Amino acid sequence: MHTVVTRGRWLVACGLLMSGIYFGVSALGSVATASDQATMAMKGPVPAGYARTCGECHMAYPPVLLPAKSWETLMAGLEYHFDDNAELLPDEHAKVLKYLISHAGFEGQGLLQKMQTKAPLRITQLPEFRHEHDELSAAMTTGNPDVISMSNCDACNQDTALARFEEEMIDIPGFGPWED
Amino acid sequence: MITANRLSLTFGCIGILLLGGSVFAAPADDLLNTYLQQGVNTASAEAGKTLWFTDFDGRRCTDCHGDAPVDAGKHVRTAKHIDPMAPSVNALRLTDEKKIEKWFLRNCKWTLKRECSLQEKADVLVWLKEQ
Repeated sequence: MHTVVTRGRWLVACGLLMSGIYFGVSALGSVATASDQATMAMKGPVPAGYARTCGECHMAYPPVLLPAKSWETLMAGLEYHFDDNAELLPDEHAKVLKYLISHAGFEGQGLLQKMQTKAPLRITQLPEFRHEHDELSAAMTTGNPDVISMSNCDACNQDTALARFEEEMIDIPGFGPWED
Repeated sequence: MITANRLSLTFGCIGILLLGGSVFAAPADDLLNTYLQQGVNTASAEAGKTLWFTDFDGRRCTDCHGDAPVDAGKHVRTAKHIDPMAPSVNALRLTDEKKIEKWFLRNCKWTLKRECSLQEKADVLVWLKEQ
């Protein structure tokens, strides 16, 4: 009887120790991830899986261009995605959503400055996006056969995969580099 | 020594066969078999062709894919370039089961405003395979 009780206590103690270690490690892990996000968000290249999934129809937009709330809304409505059906199979959907949410932008950062709504759905309608593009003529953009839509960022910005959008990296088809 | 050589030769052959099997197995055939196992009796290329050209309340497959599967298409709304559907001119077509299923889901719901039945998918697939 005595042995059984002792063994039981040992088991409980070991269990507590192991779970303590587990939660400790996982807490450390999540802290590291959070700090990585703050520094990596604008610099990390787009993963191949994400580029393949979303890039089949349009540029695979760097997640930092919209806040998490926007990505949640967009991903919940892929059946009616800007007048097209962009539904994904369940496993792909889960992976893409996870990547978008964990790398989303934050209000006040980059193009998300002066946001007018909490969950904007069109990057091209963001006030800061419009401000950054307000000196361009229609001939350079929507009237340009090699650009067609303001949503084709990579038609002119040569560094979109890194979500940098530096002015020195702009080359407008038929017009050349942009000089401010 | 001879035994070792024979052994490596045997394993080499098995390896090549396995590799060949995985490279040359057609995902479209696998998917077609899945449809057949799920209750489709026979897949008809003729029915698939008919569906491809049918007008579903103002929308047709050919609106975006073009009239000839060997030619490139252009999305009727977004103007996105669409590579030819015919495997005879586009070796990458019908080589990925998940991709085929994903696009059946999207395009049936967009064009027919409902999901396609297993029979319809089997018919279209068997017709496209011949193109």
